[in-house]
Amino acid sequence: MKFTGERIPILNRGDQLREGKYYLHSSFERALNYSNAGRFISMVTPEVGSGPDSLVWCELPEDALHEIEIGGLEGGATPWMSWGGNRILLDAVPVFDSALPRFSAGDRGAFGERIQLFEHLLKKHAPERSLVFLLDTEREELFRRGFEEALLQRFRKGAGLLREQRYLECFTELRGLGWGLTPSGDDFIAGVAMALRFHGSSLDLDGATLTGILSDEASSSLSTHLIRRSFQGLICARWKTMIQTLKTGKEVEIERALLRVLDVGATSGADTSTGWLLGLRGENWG
Amino acid sequence: MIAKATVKKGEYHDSVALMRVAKLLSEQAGVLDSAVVMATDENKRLLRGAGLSTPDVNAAGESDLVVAVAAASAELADGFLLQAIEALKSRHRELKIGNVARSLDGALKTLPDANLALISIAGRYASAEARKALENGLHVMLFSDNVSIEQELELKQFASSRGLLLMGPDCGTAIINGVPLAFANNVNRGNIGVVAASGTGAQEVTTLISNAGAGISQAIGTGGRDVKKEIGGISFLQALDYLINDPKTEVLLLVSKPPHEAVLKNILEKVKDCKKPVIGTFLGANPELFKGSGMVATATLEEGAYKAVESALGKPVSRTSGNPRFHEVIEIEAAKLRSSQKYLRGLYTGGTFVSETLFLLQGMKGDQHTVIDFGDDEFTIGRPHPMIDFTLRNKRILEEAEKPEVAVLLLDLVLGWGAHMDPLPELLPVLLEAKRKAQAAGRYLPIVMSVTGTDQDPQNRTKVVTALRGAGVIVAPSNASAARFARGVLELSGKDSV
Repeated sequence: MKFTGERIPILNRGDQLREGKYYLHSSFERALNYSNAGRFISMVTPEVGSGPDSLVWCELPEDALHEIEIGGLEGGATPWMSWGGNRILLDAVPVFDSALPRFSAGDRGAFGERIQLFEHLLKKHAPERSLVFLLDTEREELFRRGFEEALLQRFRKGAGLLREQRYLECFTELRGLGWGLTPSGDDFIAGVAMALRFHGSSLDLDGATLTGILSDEASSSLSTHLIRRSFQGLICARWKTMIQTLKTGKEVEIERALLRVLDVGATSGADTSTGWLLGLRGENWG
Repeated sequence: MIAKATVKKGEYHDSVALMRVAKLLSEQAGVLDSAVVMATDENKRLLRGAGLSTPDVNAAGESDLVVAVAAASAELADGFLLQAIEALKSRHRELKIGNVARSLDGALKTLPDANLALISIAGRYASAEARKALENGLHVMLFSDNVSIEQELELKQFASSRGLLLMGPDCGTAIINGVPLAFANNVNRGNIGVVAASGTGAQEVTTLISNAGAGISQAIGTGGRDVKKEIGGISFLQALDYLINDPKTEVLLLVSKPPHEAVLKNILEKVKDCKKPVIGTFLGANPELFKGSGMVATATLEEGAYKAVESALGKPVSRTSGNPRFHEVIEIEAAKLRSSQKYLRGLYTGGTFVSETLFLLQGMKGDQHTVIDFGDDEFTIGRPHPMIDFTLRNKRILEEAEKPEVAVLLLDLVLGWGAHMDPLPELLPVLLEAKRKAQAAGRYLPIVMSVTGTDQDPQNRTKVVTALRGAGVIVAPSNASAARFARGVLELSGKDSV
């Protein structure tokens, strides 16, 4: 397939895409990740959905593209993307707004009630080996052997620090810890970060205090990037829908939204949800 | 304890694959400890603490994958490690083998002569994909739901302008050129063409037709909303046209809930001009609507199917309800009930059966009869369809068996593609337990079931029916028969037998 200056069926593009060349980082069935100097762009299928740095394709290319370039995003030019002699225009592609939803003080009562439901549904649907054991101690039974038992203790300690609002210590404790391509601890921190952003924490979320915690050395670069976005209050469509339904949704809508969130990775969705919930609790929300 | 570990440099596997391999290792007898994690500093520290580290692990970076195992001997640990690595590789292979296409373009490259696309993806994206298939000249069966009615109208208008058929959205059943698509059954080929705006309805009539010795030319689904005013029956009318002109179709059977008045008018106009016999089962519709239309209107799916068979084969089909034995068994069952047993519990997996049963129960005394559709959104969120996952209905069967006021359990079981491939091991113990619970409380509990399917289906209907009857279940040939049987028992009940 060859494209020259065409508008192809890309369903939308994230609002945080930046110009530059990007190189293939990792390739999965539903996502192709590209990176350059700590920046990431993901080309994803509609099932994965929109994100701040994503291009949602109707269907991914059959073969992963090894290098892509994004241009025309600045200075009022026509945005474009190119690869291997192909060039497509992105001007007609809708832009996904990744900003975290904001609630007014008046929404707080109903939100609190729905958060109880969120916790109930999370315990009901979360996969076994996720951090939901921090909410449901019966699940601790699943972590018996040495390495897992040691992980469990570390996560318990991290959650304890969070409850005491010792955020930086909590993040240091959990960064890069646990299972998965994006380690569970990172997913958890991303959830806490969303919660802190959501209720306008007094923590300096953009400041230098977080620099060390967010350094690339502590975990994988992809994981670092995702956490950074959460601290910035820039989130994916699944989580936007989730938070929005916690404001206005019916039970069935909340459950649907949560199931979409839980569909991220093996336990990533559940780990982020646990961080989100405990993060809200840390600031006496929910 | 001997620990062995391997480092896969810069190797990215999705989290689901990593968790699967981690689980595989942890479940092996002989594995004392294991870990499948990215080599971040914190994970490496824990691996050291757990005695799972090696010099390679210590040297690994945060983008590297570590697989570590501890076992009683080095040989065992090596063996387990090898298994884990193979499992990771096999995951990669799984995605590449066979004609698995990742896109419509890829599928068309593999099958350039294909003329139909079956689309089953999240609703919000299904419309774009259906449009693309239509633009490629493909007929579309759109299994996905959650497509807006505006999108449905646009797609159907576009399809129609190109001479293509769009079945759906939310089209669960079709049989095209003898191939069952989605939730459908293996049925005889024959000369009866079906247009159905109801998935379970299509399964019921096609299997009844097949079991009665006739066969299906085509069974075209339209999606339930097609016959609403907003869509105007675009697909229903197209399908009707197709079957009217199809030389292999000699009898037409139309199945739907009552269409919108204007849609019905257009359907009946086409029927009036049709030279072939047309039977219509519009569940719950006023029979007056069809007078003078030239269509034979029937009240139930069973009657629609049998009328079609009679037209196709030119000989009568015997109905269960016309059999004296049917009424004898009703009397026998009713006589076993206690006076407290007054109410029906219809626990269904097929939504159309619920509509049919409610229609057949009209005018019954008592205000505590219950008919539940376990395929409704309320029950299916986060779990497979109840035709596949019996958990919720099984739980309810056992709950109802304990209630002294319950007189009859009325159930359906749908076989075929998409349904549970081996229903008996999950269902039979529950039905036996339900009967046992009632018996322990001094009651007899009749369980009446319909089994939708054929002997050509992977589950084999006769095998399933024989096993159910062996467990004391009354198996009717159709849902309508089962519902009539249950009603008969309820109407005759009221005397203590012990």
